[in-house]
Amino acid sequence: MLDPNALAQPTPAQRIGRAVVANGVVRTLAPFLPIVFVWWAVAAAGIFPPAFFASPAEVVARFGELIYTGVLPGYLVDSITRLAYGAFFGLFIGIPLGYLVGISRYARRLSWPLLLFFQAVGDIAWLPLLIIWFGFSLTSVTFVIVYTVVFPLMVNIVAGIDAVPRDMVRAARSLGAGRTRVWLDVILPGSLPAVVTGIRTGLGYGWRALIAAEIIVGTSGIGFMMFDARRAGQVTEVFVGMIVLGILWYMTDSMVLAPVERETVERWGMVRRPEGAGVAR
Amino acid sequence: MSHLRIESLSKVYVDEYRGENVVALDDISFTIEQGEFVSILGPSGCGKTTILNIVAGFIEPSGGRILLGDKPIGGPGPDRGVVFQSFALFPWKTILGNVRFGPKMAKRSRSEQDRVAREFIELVGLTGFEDRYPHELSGGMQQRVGVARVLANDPQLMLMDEPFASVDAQTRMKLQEDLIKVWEERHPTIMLITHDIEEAVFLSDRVIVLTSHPGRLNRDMRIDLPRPRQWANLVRDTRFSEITHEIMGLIMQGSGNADAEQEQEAVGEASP
Amino acid sequence: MGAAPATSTGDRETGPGESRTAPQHPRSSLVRNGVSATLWFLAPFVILAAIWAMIVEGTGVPLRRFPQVTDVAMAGAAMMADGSLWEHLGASVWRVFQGGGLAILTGVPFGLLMGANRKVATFFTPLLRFSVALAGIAWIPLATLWFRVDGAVTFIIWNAVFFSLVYNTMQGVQQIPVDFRRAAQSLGTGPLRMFPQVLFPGALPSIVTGLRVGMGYGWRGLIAAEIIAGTAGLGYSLFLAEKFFRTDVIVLMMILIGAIWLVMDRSLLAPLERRTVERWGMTKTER
Repeated sequence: MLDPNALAQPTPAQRIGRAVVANGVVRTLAPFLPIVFVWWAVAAAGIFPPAFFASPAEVVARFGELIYTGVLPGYLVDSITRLAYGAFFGLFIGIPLGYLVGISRYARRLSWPLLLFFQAVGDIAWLPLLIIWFGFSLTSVTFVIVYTVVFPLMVNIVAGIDAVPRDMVRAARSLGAGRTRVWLDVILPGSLPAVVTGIRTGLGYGWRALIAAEIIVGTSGIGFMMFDARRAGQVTEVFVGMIVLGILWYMTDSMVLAPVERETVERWGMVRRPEGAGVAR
Repeated sequence: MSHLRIESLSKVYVDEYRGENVVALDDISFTIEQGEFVSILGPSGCGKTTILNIVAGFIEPSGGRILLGDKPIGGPGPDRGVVFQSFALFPWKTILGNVRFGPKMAKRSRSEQDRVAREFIELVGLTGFEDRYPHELSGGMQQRVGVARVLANDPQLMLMDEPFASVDAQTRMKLQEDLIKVWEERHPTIMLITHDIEEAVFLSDRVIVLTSHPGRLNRDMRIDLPRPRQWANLVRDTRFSEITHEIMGLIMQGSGNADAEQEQEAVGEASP
Repeated sequence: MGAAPATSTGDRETGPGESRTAPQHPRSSLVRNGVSATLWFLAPFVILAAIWAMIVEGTGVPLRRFPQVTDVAMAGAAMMADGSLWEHLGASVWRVFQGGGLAILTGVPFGLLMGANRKVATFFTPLLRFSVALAGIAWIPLATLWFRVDGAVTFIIWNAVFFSLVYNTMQGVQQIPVDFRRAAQSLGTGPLRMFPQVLFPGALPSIVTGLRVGMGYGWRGLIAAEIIAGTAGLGYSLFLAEKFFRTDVIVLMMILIGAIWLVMDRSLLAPLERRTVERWGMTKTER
């Protein structure tokens, strides 16, 4: 990208160029510009019927409208509140439970198949039963998100405890650490990468579950807004919803998850930063 | 009364895949005196690491008796510190935090922990690195921390499991010389496991050579080279080459196809 | 998640090095290990079912709220007898294979191409991360607008698997040691043959991981899409059962959904992942 001569004597234009490239915001947003351009071109060429495909201009206009009328901010707050609730209770329940199960080797062996199974059942499949129990209410939605967060978290913690290097446990034991101290000083920090992965996976699933739950339970929220718009044939609003969802995940990832990781496992050199949600399991 | 006394130690593994017993150690007896530096040397698959794991209390012997002082050893404990080949430093603790770990477990006061830790960090020449995390240090420096961490705990016996096997050749020689210096200053009792003949001869007062399959005691040699020892002097020393040559002969006799045997050791180690 | 206990008897035979050291070991102990692993895996479910039965028996919860174990079994038997079970099951599984297969055919080549060209990769990476996060369920409104029901559900699965596959394939290619490519080049491999000879096999462990993660999202997406806009499938029958308060059918479907995914993941995807990684002694950076 940069040749050595240019490095030696940058012209003013290059210097400005490099400063722009170095800017985080620009670097994040720049790749989207050509995409938006292609999107605009496709819409303008009329390849797809307008009822199926909205142009960037329409989306921006609709976005402004939805904010102005207060619909989008209201729904956004609803969605985020639900996710925050769910995530909070999910962590609150999942982390202690994961370690509790992990304490004994036998508990670990006995619970492992159940954990895998309940993770496999999947959040959304619970929704019909929850609707029968709690009706079309916030409780149902929150329950689903808590569920999605809890199981990946527990699965990861239990696997993480097993993955703590044996030599480290041995080292601690022969330095005089008893059972409790081994847990506090070795197993707990040693399994932290697994907890981080678990939270990442859990939130990734939780986010999707929220959208599905909002569509199915259908009272408010971004998911509801999108599906409602789809029923009314408002394709522009569906596009707005998707972009908002994408941005929100990006922000959760880079403002909450990434800093936590940077301060703990990355600082200790235990894992390299996994790129994006694709590697989370 | 010897400091460490190992009496007819044996270890038998069950090979799950073949459903038969594998004798890893057969009737091993030796002693180590207070302040002595002893190396256990043997070809791959002679079960030398098994001896260390048993003495450290990580695995149970199938037969025999081990006395430290005059008490039989139990599970792992602070009286037997272990330096691992994999370093096994805690990545979430700084260098200071790692070295302080032993005194902290012994419930010494905070200032005492710090004082001891800093003393031993200085001993291994790492002053200035107290607040770094292990992954920020080179392999050689990490193992210095490993040594400091054990010595800070003032164990009755320091066990070293091929401690310098995963660092490069130059660093290894430097570490060996520095270990000698530390030993000459403090005289901890050391049992070192290695497959490196020159390392064993260079460091030790005695070298115990094992045979493989099953692991048996082959020879217990006293290394009568004068101290202080330095590589620069020893590489041209005729006595040094005689001893290493003799040991090499012992080991070559005792090892058949090393590859398959090494694999067996791996299988055996996997099921404590 | 490599710490899972072996679930099938076949698992242990493929362990690295075993066949070399002991080519003709007696099978008896292997079988014994397999049986005990299976028992360890099944026992918790038996215990759970017993607790479930006792609680329902003790509290007398009505069927409208929660079914007894026997209700679920009977619902299963009835649905098997009238064939509706196979119909729903078949519809869902067929869609998964359709969507997954399509995603492999499209995602892997695209991912390889992106991995091979650094500039293309830097350009697309932010967009891809965006899409991986959005993949699956968020597309349901659009998919149902764009396609017929069947197409929409397949699209959701394709979508979930595709982005995860592309992303992981790309990363897999980028992680291939540069020496491999140089070795191949100096042995006369042209740029085109590089794909099947070096890039694809080199990225395979990562590709399989991507497939596994993507299928996880896809399976959930499938259930959601079927609930929201299905005419057949496990999710659709969940939706129907909810309308009629048939908790026995709901729980049956939930068990099936979990069991099918476990079978797919543990007996298809996980062994595939393990085999590609272990066979060649490649270790991944992340586990």
